[in-house]
Amino acid sequence: MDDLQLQHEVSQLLYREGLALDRQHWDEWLDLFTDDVVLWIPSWITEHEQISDPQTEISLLYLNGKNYLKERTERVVKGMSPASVPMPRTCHAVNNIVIEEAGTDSLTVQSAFRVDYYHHKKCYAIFGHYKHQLVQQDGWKINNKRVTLMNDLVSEVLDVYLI
Amino acid sequence: MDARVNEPRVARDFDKYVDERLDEGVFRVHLDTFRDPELFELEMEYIWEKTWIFLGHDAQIPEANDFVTTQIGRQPVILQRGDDAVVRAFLNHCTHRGPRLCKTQRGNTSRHTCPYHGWMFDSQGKCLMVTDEDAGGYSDAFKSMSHDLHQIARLESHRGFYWGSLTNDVPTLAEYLGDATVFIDAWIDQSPNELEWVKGDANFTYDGNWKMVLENCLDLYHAKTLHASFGNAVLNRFKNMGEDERKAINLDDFVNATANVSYYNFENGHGALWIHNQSNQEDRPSYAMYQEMEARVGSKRAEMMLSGKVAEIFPSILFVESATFQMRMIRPISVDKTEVYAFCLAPKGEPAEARALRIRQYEDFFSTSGLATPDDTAVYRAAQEGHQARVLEWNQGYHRGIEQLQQGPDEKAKEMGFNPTLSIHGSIAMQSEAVYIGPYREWLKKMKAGQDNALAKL
Repeated sequence: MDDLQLQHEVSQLLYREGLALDRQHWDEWLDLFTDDVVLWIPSWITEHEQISDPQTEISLLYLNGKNYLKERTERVVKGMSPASVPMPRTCHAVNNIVIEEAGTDSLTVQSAFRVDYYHHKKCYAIFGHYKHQLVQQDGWKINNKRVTLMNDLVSEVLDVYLI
Repeated sequence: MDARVNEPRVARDFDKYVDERLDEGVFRVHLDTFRDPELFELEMEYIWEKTWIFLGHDAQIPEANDFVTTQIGRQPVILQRGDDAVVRAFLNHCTHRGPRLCKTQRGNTSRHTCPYHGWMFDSQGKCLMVTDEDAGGYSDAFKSMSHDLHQIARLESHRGFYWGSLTNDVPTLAEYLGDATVFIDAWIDQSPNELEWVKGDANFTYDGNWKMVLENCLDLYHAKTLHASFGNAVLNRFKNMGEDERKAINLDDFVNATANVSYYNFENGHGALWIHNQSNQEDRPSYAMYQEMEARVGSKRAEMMLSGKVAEIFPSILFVESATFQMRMIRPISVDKTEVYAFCLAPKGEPAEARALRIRQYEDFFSTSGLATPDDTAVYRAAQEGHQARVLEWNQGYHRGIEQLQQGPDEKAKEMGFNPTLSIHGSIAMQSEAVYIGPYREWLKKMKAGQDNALAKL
């Protein structure tokens, strides 16, 4: 596979992830992940230093396994959580996509993201970097999503659909 | 201290804001306390800047020259361990022309150099250099001034927990905290080596008044309704994922009403609650050290140390233990905006597995990325919006348990040997709201005293 083709495939996957969240197509979103996915937003310790170990330090979010992702989407669907009733309208944008490591069946992909959302008649934005680990399982699946969240003083809620 | 130029001001009749008629079974707080921007400024001046405000913990500044930045009311403060190991608190303000000297939430520095004109201060607050002083043509009057950073009037610690006051006109910290320290000590003593700070910032803001988070942390009534989604997630985990590592607090205690609760008020506006006979205590991270605790402090106190409990030290800090323990520093920004700075303190020597469980439970329940707190912040906002119904003066939110109020300690407090001013004891289903009487009595006392002092200065 040539580099352009791989770049194209990877970009499409990241775009589709954002689109599935924006469209609230939760099953489609969950299908993009392996069962043992880790979704991690490390917290900050100083201006430019993040925690390194989720077992000994507080994360902004640490979900270990697809079940915990599903817990989040079910929470939205059930409508019992006032934090997501009504759901904000979200718009994911992903760019600066760089394949940092490419093995035969695994990839490390770095990108920049911005999620604009509209909630309570106000505009909000969350932005930062993604680092996705992809593995081959009948096509590329996300095995690890690490989010470096720049604006970490959270405005009321932070959840999987906002990152 | 508030040093603003005194201008005539309209005196308010603060008694109109707190309607206490306990003999008639009524306790109400006026909705203006949540929505009046001028009243917010007076709260900052008369309450926050005239009493003890929590500033930080020893574990956040362990080394010489470590500092954290915070606020007392509206005023920027540095809490720093000097190069002489002494902890001091300064206003974060260059003596010369005023820029904030420490710009980050925490750090380590032996020198504070003002970026504007270069005046330099050491970590004890002493002015080391007035830039080009010799050539400055200064008057004798200037030369006789202290150029050192302004140390706040009072700084005292309770076992490593620092509170500061901008005015000298406060009791000692020990007098201020009173017997509420029984609760604080119940966390500190979870390990024979006390507590350590678990790193990682997970702070948040909400569009609501500062008193909403204060009330909410002492409120058991909302658990079953507002946190139904959290309860649901926990049930599903047990069903679908089996006995996994994410054990969580069990809301069954609320549904089945098997537990009972003591609520307390202490002097100076502090409130607390303590849940007895809770189920699944063995799922708490602190259970890993329970045997050691029990051997060290006895079974009654060990049980209190393990239990779900909350202590609110008026007005600035909440110690909250659901499944695990979080401290929440309240930072009021405006009448309808509040920042909450949270941190996790954990017993030193906790086994790694228990520590990981503690961290997961902390994130799960307390974080704004978790399954509980975002629903709390959503209703703070909703209440702030609802309170714009200015046709209305009162809500009905302070009446549960009012008939069970007793003066002095209940049986549980007597057993433990502490003396609250008021107690309420009952089934967890009572979910008393009368616990807010103490904080609002203090609110009223400080507002009246603050106004009296301000008017006397005119």
